Amino acid sequence: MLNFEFCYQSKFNILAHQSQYNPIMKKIVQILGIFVLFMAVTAAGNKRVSNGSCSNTEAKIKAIDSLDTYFYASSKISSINYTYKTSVKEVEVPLFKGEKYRMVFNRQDLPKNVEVEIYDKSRESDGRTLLYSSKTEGNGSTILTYEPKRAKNLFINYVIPPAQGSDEIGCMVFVLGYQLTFVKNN
Amino acid sequence: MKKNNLIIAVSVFSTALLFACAEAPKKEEITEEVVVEEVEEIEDESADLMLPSPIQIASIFNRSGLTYNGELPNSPDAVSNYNTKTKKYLNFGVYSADMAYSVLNKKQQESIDYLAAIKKLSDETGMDAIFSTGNMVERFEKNIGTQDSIMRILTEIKIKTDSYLEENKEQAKMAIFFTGAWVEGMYLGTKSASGNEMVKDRVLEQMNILKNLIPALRAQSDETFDLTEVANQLEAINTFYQSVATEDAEGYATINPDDMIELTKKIEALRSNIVSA
Repeated sequence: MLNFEFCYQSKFNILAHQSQYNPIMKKIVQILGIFVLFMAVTAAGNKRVSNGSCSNTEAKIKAIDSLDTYFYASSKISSINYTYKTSVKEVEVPLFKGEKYRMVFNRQDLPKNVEVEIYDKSRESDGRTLLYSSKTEGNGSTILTYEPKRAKNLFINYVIPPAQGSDEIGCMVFVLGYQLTFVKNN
Repeated sequence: MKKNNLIIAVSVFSTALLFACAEAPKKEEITEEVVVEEVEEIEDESADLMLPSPIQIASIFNRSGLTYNGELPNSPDAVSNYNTKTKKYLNFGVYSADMAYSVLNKKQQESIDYLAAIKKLSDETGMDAIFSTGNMVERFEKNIGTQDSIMRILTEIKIKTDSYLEENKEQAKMAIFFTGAWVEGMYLGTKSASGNEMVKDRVLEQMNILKNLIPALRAQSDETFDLTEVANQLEAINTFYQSVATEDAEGYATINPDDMIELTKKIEALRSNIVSA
């Protein structure tokens, strides 16, 4: 496979060289230049998607930073596969009675935003209640935070939009923090 | 005419170059445009489980009044007895729980000894990267009298362990560490639950994790681990628990005292299997 950056650089060089000899060429060069630029941007985007290896420590570090005063409990980096339809991936989070938690989601490694919904029961259960939705409470942010009012097992649903044209992949970083209240008391 | 030919030639050449340099289209990319249905399709795979922090479990037990009993934790001297990969991974978890138990009860020398045991096991399992940066052992010993600092160092070790497994695509092994830590935490909890309803409630709360932990343990693709017996014992514990547990008005689990004794025995047997050489 040819190297993208080298190729695009080569295109610009060749086109620039041509434009020195003919003013009519300039217009063609301009049009082609815009086209090449568009291609480069699109390719860069696709590259980010196809390289969706879910071990990006930078995204996780940012999520951990957003825990603020909460102690890191654990993390789950989920591989997100965009298919031709909207799909849902569920993560069960065991939370313990009386504890205070903060959940942080980092969507920076996703080619298209995945919506985060949090329920009190699994998707197989009847009558579950939606406790949080990034659609209404996330303000389109890359990093989302949620602090459950009552600590009991919760079910996170990643609502994955359809891919455009072909399958795409990305990574959702989820970090859970808990409040270590006893430290001060001791 | 000549000029027009030149324009055409340059255009063709440039366009050809563009397509030549573009990444070879994937098979899917050249298929017809798919009409996206609005109907939501649910993935049929079972829910992913997020494993809790053994440090947090220890702190929950601690806060509910779990008193320290120095005879209960696994001896750090036993670390040299673990010669198989399975034992090393499981006891990495066991010692993590014991270290948190010691730290929370301000047992300084014990805490240092458990950290040394954990470090030895991490070195022997190829995870030496966890302790290779950040001078964690030195910082741990230096701050041993300051519980808040020690808890932060323990959290740092947890972050590094998780990151190591993620970066090496070995997240599945997290379930093995966690099993060791969970069994040890439950052993410490059940052995001290008698007469303490709060500890008992906390023990029962932890039982919920089993339904997802067992499949995670059975799903290990690395055949060099021998986890069948441990998984079977966990399965037996879960089956017993599911048959005797009921829910109170708030939806929290409860079991009668006789069943609690039986549960304690089953956990003790599993723990004995894990910490034996």
